[in-house]
Amino acid sequence: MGMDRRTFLKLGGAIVIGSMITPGTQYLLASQEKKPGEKSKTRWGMVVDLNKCTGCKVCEKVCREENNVPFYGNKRYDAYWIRVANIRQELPGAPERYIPLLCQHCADAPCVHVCVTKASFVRKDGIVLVDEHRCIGCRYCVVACPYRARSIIFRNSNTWTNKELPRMMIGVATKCTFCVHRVDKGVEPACVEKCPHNALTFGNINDPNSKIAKIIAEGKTQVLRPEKLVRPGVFYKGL
Amino acid sequence: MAKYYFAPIEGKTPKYYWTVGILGTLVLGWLVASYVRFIKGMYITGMSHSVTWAGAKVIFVLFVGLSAGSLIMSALSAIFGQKEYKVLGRVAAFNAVLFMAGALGILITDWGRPDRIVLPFYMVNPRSMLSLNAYIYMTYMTVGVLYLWAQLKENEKWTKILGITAVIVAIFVHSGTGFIFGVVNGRDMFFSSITPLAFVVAALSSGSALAMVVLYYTFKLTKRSIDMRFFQQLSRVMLGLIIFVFYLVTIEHLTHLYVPEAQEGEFYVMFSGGFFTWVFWGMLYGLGLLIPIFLLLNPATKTKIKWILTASVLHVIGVLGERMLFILPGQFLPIPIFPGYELASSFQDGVVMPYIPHLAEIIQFIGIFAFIAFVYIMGLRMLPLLPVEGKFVKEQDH
Amino acid sequence: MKMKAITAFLVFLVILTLPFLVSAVNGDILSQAPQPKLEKAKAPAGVENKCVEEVPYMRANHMNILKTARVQVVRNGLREKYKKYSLENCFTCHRNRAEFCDKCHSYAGVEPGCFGDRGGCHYANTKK
Repeated sequence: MGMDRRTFLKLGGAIVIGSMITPGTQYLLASQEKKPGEKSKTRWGMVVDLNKCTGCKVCEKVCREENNVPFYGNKRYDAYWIRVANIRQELPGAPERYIPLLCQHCADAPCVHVCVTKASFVRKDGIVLVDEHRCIGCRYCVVACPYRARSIIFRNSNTWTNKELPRMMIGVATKCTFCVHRVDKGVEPACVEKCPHNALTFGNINDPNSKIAKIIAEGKTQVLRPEKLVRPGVFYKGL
Repeated sequence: MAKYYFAPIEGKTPKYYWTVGILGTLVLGWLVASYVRFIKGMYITGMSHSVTWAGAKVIFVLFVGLSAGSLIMSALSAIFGQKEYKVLGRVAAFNAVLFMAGALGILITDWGRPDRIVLPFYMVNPRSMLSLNAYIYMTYMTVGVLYLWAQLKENEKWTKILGITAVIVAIFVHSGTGFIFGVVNGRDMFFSSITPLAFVVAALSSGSALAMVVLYYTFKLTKRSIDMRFFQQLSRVMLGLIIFVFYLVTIEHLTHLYVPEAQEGEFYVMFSGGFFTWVFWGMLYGLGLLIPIFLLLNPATKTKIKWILTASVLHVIGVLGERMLFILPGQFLPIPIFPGYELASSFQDGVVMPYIPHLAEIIQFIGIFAFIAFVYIMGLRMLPLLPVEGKFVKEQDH
Repeated sequence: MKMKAITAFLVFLVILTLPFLVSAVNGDILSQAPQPKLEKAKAPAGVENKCVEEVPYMRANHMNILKTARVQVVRNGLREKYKKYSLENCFTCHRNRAEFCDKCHSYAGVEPGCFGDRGGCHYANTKK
């Protein structure tokens, strides 16, 4: 061999490290993802006023149209980003009420903790997103979510009502994004804008002057499953 | 001290070729079913949004357990055991590698996007148990293959070193698999720190059970004579492990009965679950634990090879039942998002979603078993795994 | 035994160098590759009628540009900054996918994840 061992090892190591780093570099570029324990000025959140919700399910329909969420007509694998559930207290004569359930955009999101490839992540502004290009479809996040907020795309989807956004990718996990493409433009999410009864309020929780922060400051809101300590960004009023 | 002389089997009988052919067809079926499932999407399986980890995950966990158990049994018998135990070393190590390969195969074909197989290796999320497991599994495979290789090369020193390493890694592997479920805070039926220990102990017991069954039938079908004392001694070890599994499973279910979050699910499993109640009492406690313990304690049956093997097979079935009970009801039982409320929605909130495996999945399950059997009998013909009757190697020849 | 090993090594060597051998036999295969045909849409008034980067650079690096834009938009939310590198922006000029994209991609055997037959999430504004 014309090459001594040290040179060979150096060269081999360089090649191995190089081939490992090259595909990874693009993900390391000035990451804006939230680091644990970091405080940011913006945290998007939502308040759902259950006294105003009538269960009309307009939000479900609007969400499907805005985000191309597929509907196959099979209750086993229909995807939902927001769904309106009926709840009734287990007391005689208690009335039936309606509650929109969506991704709670937790600060300590369990789905982000368990994600194998960091496809799920928390943005600096508190929105939990799935990078569908990176998701391997292992479905750990679906198991880990305490709110059942996630859907798997079980089947090739033909739903393509909003041509500005891509179609749903098959075999990956999806969930509510707070309509991040609208939020980045400064527009409210579609369900908030189109709700006929103004039951949903969207805004920056960390800004004390915003409308949503004032509602929360009244002290009449609560989060779902507070015992899980995931610090959700969606608050419910009048439960 | 004489050592066994190992050699590959002849493998030229029509029976052998027929077995290879049938198993090969089933493996092909597995590949086709996996491909169809990948192209069509997961809707051709029986899964729903409530049960996203289903039969494939059950088999994955069972296989990881069998693999870890086999490897630990192999290492312990090859390093510390008597001379008779050394016949187990190679076959069990080979089985361990095979079962891990099968487990990874069924895990990856269960993903929604198996085409992105490389991503977990360079995008590590240290908070995710499954992500760390990707590396633990690869380490395990490497150590397992090297350990088998050291045995085949008759290298005593490296067999010892790699064997001890393999035992440690195997314990990590199965603890890690237990942690995949044990750390899920959102599911009260999963969240438990006893899961890794229960998984490791069940892996050891089912691994030794499997090792006995495989070894006995391999010897019988290749017309080799066996030392019955070996099976009798190993069955004592297995009895102790089965009693330990019994204890761990019982305290886990008892704890669930006393915890408000898991109480409802535990009542479902124990009394009102239909199929799963049968699995719990019949498959897990009856077939898997009580009957084997009885068979191995009863003086009339505990020394008979027939009953030892029956107990082994029943125990493996019982461990399969345990995995089913662990993974499936933990998912499809409704999550108490609103305690004290009745909940219903079009997304199947508050409803028990049944899981029935569909055709493609069943072909996958059969095919993965066939894959292991296929590679096993091919390996018997290609590698020196089995001792040759009445032929020994003297120490100084070496 | 030795003969067998040498034969196996030779076969391996041939397989390893197959791409070079094929191009040595076929001559300059790059010139035989199908050229993409650009059916430009009329540029809207006030918009410069040229690509976001120089053409040779785009030819070599369009996939990396798209990938970087994808990561920056999805993960970091830099929608405005990377708007000109978005696929949607490409499709405003390169409207005919079959003539412009597929010709080279199918010749080279590359199926892009963006608008491949399996993923197929991104080709809303193009003809297929």
